[in-house]
Amino acid sequence: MAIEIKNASFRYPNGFVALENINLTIHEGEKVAIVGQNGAGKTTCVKMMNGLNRPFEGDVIIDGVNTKDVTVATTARKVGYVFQNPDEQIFNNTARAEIEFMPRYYKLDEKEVKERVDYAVKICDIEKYMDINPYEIPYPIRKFVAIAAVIASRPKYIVLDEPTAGQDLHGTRTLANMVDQLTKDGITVITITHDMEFAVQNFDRVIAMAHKNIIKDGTAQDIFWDDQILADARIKKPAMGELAKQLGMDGRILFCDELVGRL
Amino acid sequence: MDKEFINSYNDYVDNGNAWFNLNPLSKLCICLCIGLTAVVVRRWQYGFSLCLLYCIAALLIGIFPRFIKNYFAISIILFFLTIIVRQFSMKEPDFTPFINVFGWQWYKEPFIAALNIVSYIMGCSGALLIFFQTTEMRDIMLALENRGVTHVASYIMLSSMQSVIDMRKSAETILESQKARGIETDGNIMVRMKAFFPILGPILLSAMSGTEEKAIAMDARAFSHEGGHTYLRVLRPISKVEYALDALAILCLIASIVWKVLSLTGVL
Amino acid sequence: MAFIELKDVSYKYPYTKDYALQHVTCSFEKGKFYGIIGENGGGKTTLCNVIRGLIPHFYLGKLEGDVLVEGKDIRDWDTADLCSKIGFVFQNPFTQISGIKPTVFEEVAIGLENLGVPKQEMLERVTNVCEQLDIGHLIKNNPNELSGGQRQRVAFASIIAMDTETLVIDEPTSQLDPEGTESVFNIINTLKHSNKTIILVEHKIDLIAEFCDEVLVMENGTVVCSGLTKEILSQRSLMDHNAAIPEVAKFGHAMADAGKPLAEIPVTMEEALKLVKERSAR
Repeated sequence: MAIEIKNASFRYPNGFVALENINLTIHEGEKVAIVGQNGAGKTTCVKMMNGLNRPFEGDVIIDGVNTKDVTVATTARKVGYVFQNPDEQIFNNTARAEIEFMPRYYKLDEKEVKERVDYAVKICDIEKYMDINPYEIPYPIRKFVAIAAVIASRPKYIVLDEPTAGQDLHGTRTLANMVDQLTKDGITVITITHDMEFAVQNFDRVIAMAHKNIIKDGTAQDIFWDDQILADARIKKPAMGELAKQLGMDGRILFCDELVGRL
Repeated sequence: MDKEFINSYNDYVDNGNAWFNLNPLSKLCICLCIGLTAVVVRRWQYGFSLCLLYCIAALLIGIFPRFIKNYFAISIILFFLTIIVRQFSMKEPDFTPFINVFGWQWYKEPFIAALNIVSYIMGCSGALLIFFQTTEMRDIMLALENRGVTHVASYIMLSSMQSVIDMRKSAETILESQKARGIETDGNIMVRMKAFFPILGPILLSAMSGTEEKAIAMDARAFSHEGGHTYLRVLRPISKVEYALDALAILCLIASIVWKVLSLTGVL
Repeated sequence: MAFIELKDVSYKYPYTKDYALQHVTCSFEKGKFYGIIGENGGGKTTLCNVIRGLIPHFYLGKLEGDVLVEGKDIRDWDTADLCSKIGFVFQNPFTQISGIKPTVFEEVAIGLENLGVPKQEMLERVTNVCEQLDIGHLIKNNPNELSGGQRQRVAFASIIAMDTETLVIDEPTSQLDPEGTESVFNIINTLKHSNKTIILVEHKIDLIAEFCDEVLVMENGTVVCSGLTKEILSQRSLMDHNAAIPEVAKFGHAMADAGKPLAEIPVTMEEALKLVKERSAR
């Protein structure tokens, strides 16, 4: 079971080509971070995963089903995508109604609805905002409402677009725990992020994108210790890596305890 | 930086040619008066002559292609609608038979009545169409501000036009995000309707939630500052010729009213 | 003398139970760069709103204590005068564009038009600011069609053109991509050398460490600590207040824990590098 993107290219209706010949396989249970400068095609790429974007060449296959053969909604049941801006997604009067919406749409019984909602709410740590109008919830927390709503529809794969933007320490920690918990519960997490510390600390696999393509796919060390890749994707080395590099140390250090141990 | 562009603000606003550069208010006066004469006169001979005149004017001003595109669309719809409705709604025994359309007898009187109606609507709308196709909203507001309308009123007018554009954009993104969540939006009309209704709320809400922030942003730009207000863009002062044209247009309107009154009272 | 002074200030938004600010006392001096950090919902934006005079002039609700700008009570200030003293840029790049101007050049000029600046001076100031903020290539573009980062730069330009002594900047990069963020950082860097008083709310702690003279940490409507940037950001206890500290500071503490302490806790990369080298040389 996997998300497979095979020789896929994507062109917008206005003719702009956003992705050229992408190949990528993400297996169930992986934790994947996608990094790279804006305009590299990150969002376009993940939108192909849930069928919103269909490749004009090549194929995107989710658990053996080609996204071209089914509706977006069908693919989206398997691959949930949380938009970068929660305001584009939230449309109910309370956070609770928003999170219950998809389980009810799928006509699940009350018990199942409650179970899913409780799970999502706990994982996003938004219990105290449940009966508030989403527009009165602070923006960073509104992002968690949007995430919870997608978790409650229980996709097998969940794609987060810039979840850390605007989050404080607590928010970032909640996200880190969320990635762990979801993975443990069998949900594959894929995230686009500009926060390199977040990527390094929480994801086993990092994909760097630039110039409408994937320029490197590997471990955090593979990406963040390849200065050419960092320059092409216009991303920064995480602080500990940068310190180690400037101290002239080898061993592709990225973590604090590694560095402390070596000094 | 584009020095030429920056320097262009040193001159009066230049929108292209003499007609475009007329003060928006005098342009409105001319178009409105001429257009209204058609409403007053209500004779198809006059109305259609005006239509022809507008086409020539559009050619001279250089907006013919887009003018005729809109004008033609309005006229075709109006023409057929009015003529058919009139044939049905006006029925008198002594009407003159006119033409026979595939066994359907048309009469002359309702046909002429329809022509009169179409001609006055066309005669009026053509003038307004020329006005709106050659005048930017912001120039109208600027001219009004020069006449003492507050910049707040002008802001409300202009920003609500932009918010319609913004709302359409946000409708597209919100619909896309509904799809992404697994709500069916493709399919028959029922499916589409079901997907569309839930998004009306967030579109309005997102438009509204932006309003408060926008007010704060505008406040930070000294929106509430009273006293001298200066303008980056300055409209050309109204020339004597412009005043003369306005006066002429108003005279035309008065003349048409006089003609109408006289003909109604049977003097003519 | 303090340019802005808050004495025991509490504030409650209308229709809410809890105070958004509780007994806040702090002051801001001319020409200094201040950072405000801390949890979301901790009162950072509310504090900005008070400083900016939006509380009590725009938001109703209950304001207690004294807020003085140039020694004069905020309630006595005219909002129009205040906005020519204190500029304000906030997070959302989309709501800070007026939506009524078809070119960036005209957008940037709005504030000056409202203030009644003579046209020649207006042209000069707008031109200079666009050059300074590197948006010269955008002046003919429609601001409603720009990217978030570009819009945010236009928002900065519009405010900077008004040449206020003080700038309040509330999370300018939280909705931007790295490129947009970087360009905003560049603007802030330019501002740092302009002798303006700057109050910056920001989560990106490395930015705070690099630019700010002093830092205030907020939690739950109160200022939990404040002082020189280095003193504040090197405290590990900040994380108990739900505020992040720089990665290099965490590293400094980790070194101390491992029995290999550096001479002091670093807060910037430069400092960390220097301290580690010093330690190895010992």
